[in-house]
Amino acid sequence: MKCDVKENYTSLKSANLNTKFKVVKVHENLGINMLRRLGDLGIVEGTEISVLKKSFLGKTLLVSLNGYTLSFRDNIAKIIEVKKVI
Amino acid sequence: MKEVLLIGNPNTGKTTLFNNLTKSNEHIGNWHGVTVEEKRKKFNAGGEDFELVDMPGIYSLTALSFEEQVAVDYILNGTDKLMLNICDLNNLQRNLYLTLGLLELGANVLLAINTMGSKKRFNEVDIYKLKEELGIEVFLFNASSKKDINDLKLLIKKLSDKPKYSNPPSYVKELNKMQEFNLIKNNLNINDSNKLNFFAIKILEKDEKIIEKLEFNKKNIKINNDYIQQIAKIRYDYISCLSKVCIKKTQKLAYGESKIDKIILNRFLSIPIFLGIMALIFYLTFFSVGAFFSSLLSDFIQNIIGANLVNFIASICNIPWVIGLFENGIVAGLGSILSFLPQVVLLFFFLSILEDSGYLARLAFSFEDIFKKLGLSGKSVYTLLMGFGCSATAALTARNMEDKNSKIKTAMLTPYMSCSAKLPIYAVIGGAFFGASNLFIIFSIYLLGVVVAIILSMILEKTALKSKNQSFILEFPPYRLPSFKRILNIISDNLKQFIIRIGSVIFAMNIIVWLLGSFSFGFAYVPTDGGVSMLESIGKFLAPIFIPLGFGNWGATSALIAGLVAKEVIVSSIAIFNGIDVNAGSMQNQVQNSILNSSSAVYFTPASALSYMVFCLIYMPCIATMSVLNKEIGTKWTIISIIIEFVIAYLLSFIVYNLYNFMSIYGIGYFLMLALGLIIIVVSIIYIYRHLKNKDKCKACGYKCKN
Repeated sequence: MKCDVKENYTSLKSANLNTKFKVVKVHENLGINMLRRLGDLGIVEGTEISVLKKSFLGKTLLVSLNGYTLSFRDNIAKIIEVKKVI
Repeated sequence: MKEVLLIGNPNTGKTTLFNNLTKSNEHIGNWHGVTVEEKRKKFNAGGEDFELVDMPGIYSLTALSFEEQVAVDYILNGTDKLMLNICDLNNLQRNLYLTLGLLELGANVLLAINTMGSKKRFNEVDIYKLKEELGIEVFLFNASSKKDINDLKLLIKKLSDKPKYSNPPSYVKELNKMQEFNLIKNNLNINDSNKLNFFAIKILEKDEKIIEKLEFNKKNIKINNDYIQQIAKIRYDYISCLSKVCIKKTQKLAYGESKIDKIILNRFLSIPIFLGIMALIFYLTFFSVGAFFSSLLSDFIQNIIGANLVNFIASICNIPWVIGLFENGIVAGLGSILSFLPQVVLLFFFLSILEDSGYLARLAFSFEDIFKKLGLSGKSVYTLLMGFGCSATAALTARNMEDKNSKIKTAMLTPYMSCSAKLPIYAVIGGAFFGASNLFIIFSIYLLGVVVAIILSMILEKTALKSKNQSFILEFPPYRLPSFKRILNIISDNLKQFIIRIGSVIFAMNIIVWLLGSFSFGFAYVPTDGGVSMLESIGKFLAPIFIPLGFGNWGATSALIAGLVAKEVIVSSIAIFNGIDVNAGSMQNQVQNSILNSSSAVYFTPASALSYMVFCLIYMPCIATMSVLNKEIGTKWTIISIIIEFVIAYLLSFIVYNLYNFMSIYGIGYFLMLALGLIIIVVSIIYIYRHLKNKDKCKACGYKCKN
């Protein structure tokens, strides 16, 4: 919701296309099962990740990490805290 | 017999290997989650029989969905069995994550790395170093190479004779230095001390199933959620260390990334491209290629087989009902379906190509935004698209949906996708009335099914089946061109299935329909002795229900009932009731002419033909689909969906029939004006409604927030 307190971290949701980011933390907002699945898929602290594409309404993302591609919605992108790789 | 478990991530070629090892023909595709239930088959390796168990793909030993649970339970209950772990070479790092899980379990693992047969590999791997590092047998193979398959069999034999239970990876030692880890270990009572580490790790990861099984929740030890990600990180750190030694990346692009995606995934082009592809598929199937081969086959069946058979029967025995059985019951009944064989096979062929190509994952990505609004998941695209082939097999794939409500909804909507068995109905009935413009009619019918499904999904989302879909995650497979061998395989497989279906269910139904339709209750043969056939008496009793829809004749009604067994029987029943003469002109033309004639058992007007086609599109799924639905979504939802379908079919057919009749009286212009007026009224109501609804909302954010 728009009235929620704004996240005080940079999430993958607001990341620019085709820019390398590093995962800082995966937040717990979507429950521990999501933490686990993202962990299984390799989204853990320190993973390099970049957004390749966004869908029609910009709500679904295509990202690349560990040499493969994955697509998920912005609700998941929002819980992935990232920082830019310099 | 010893069991060998086939374990691996989704879409790594497990079923392909299963087919090659056991020489079977299970369904495969370039999509994750094609296999949704375990499959088992015997195979021989080195003189010993083994049973290979193919399982749904998993990412780790903690299941998050229905079909994953099957695989995980199987692994945890069979730790002494040989585990054939398949990894995709192109995505080795991610695939090794599951392998580490198996190593923690101390299982007898054979790591088989699949090169996926592609020339453009994304990784190179040093097998010997990997073998050394992991301490298990590693084998690099190409699933289509006979030599590799034979070598793999020998390895399976060797490892099952002399099991080599793996040592836990080195990071487990590091874990043992952790305070919480030891606390958990000390509080666990497990007989098998080898598995102590594995279960302790799973508890640290908060695996609810294992915590429950070991009754650890009673221990009252609090575990921080942070460990879930920490352990994943420890495993991935180990893998990245491994890959520095053994794996070399050979491509710049990521696996699944492709240059064509620039166009196919373009925000504005993706959906038009999809519609274009579908239109092309339907055009090729129904009109150009498919129709050409259909008419060839139809002539062949009638002139070469049918005419000779019937004339031969007539020459040796002159009993009218025997000739009738062969001419109408068998030749007309089977011929009317069999002549659609090229079209049905072609449709399945195109669907398989779509499935194999890797395009469906892109489609799920493009549709996710829209489907989310409808309360479905992007993954529903796969199930719904397969529904154009066969509803029963498609409904089964709804299993890989994330949450229960999306699964029920997707399975319920599958029958609205017009399945291949309904194809002859539109071709025969539509063709009789609309000739060349039937292309447009057929496309509208398919579209109508999709639109009804979308509206129904929106209604269900707002009422009974609100989806809690929070976790759409989908991997992108790379584009793959099907090999020539695979194309032949798809065609022969579909041909075989279609012919078996015609030879069994449809043949039996045709004979039953012919018997009931040709004999009266007093067992008199109606065409010669006169009287009223059994189906006519029953049909006449039910037919009044359909008078408002325009097809209240007994033949059309009986065909609908017979069609519940298999939808193909609708057309064959019509051919049987109206009868043909094998020595006259083309069989399909005879059937089409007879339904124009009001003295036939089944006859239509243009309006009632349209309404009949709409009714057939939706009215009820066939028995096979009903039983799948019953198994997948429960009896309650199956009954509800059947009732909904019947009601929608009835209402829509009623509207179509009367609208067409009115239109032919008042002309189209009148209706365009009426439609325009209706649209204006609806739009203004929506606008006013939205305006009123927004009044009591927070001015700052536009939503109903508490302050």
